[in-house]
Amino acid sequence: MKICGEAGRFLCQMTASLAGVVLVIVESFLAIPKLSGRSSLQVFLRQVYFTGIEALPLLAAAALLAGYMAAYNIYALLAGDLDLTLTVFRSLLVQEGSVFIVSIFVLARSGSAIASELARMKQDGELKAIWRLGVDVPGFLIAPRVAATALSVAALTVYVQVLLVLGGIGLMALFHRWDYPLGMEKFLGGIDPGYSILNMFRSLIFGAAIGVVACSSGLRAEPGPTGIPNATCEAFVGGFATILFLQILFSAVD
Amino acid sequence: MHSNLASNAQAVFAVQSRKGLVHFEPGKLYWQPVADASEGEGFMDTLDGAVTPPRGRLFSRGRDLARLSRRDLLFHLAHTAFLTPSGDLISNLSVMENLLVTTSPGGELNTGELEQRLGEEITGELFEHTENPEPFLLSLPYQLSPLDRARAGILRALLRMPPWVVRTEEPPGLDPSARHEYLRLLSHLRSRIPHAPWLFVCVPSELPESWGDFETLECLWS
Repeated sequence: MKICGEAGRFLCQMTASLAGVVLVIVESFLAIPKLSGRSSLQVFLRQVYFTGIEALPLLAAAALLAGYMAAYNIYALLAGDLDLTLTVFRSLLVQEGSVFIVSIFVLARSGSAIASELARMKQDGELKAIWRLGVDVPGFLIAPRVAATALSVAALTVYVQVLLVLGGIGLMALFHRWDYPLGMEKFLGGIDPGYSILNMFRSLIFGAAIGVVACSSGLRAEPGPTGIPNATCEAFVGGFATILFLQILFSAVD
Repeated sequence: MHSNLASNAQAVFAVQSRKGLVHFEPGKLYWQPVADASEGEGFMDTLDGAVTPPRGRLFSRGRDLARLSRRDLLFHLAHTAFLTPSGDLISNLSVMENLLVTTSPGGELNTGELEQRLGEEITGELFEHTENPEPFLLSLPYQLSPLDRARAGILRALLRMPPWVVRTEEPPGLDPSARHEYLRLLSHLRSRIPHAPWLFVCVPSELPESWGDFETLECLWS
């Protein structure tokens, strides 16, 4: 009986979470026209700065290192076959892995921050005050954040892809005497423009998903001292599960 | 339309109480006694509940008490001056940005108009004892003293020229000189919007003594 009760409670919680996410998606979509408003635009630009611009140095270091380590290990595993190494490196890391790496990075950094910020606003009664002022909560709080995370993940993905290639081919040329022009020519020659566009779309969807889950978790924070940490945790775990699910979905479509 | 609201003698607010509909008449003073601060918050929650849009049920309780149409209530709510201890400021925006956040129900307040009014107010009585209001305007809410948070709330009310003012508790921890300044600011707001009814939701000691008679209300929420 106890197990049934726990299972039922879990199911109710999951349903409530999903309903919250769906509601935030709908409200964000409906609030898109309001992004041109001055206040919403300010929130959007701030979020782009915190999510995108501030992440640049750390992502640069991580991408250069990851690119180098991946290229080195793949080259060693494939017994020095440059063509195959570059094919695997391009497909696995640059095209597929970059979106995933950036999404997890943004989720951990910004997803948690968005959730905790909104949770605090809810606990302090600030959401109510904003609503009382007549400010449209979805248009002012949710849509700018979702749009900003979507745009940031897309832009950071391109940024990371460039640095992965620089780290992989460039550093291998520097330390292991790869032929840099030849390596770049072979790498770029294998790029499928259609797939790159799909990748860009995928990164936008992943970014939007992170924003939606983070906003939903923050807005549903419960009162009390554990409300904010729980919302932060839920944002990360929920966001991670969502990204994995979307990854599987996109892989199935591919 | 918005700038004429305060002078429109017909722009009153009505709330359902235990004894029926309470009409707030222009320029009159009303007092809803409460035992403590949590009762004041309860009133604010009730007011929120009276106008909760369906999707807003995520954030607040829903109880429809007032008989005005929802659109009318939203309009009045958005243009009501709520003078709360926290000032109802958005914590990640500066005071200036808080003042210029536009509203949506009932129509947008023009940002240019708000900026013009702000320019007039910062050279007026509100900042009589302040040499330079710029640091105040650029501060974030957490950097403000309780009196300055109240000043920001009153300044926002002056910019919007509300048809109705609801004041819950006084800001906490005011010393006698700060309380005197706070009451001066309230009086200044009252003189600028003479037709607006005022509702105080507070304990008896927080009523301004020199303002005249207050009509005491019974519990405004069921």
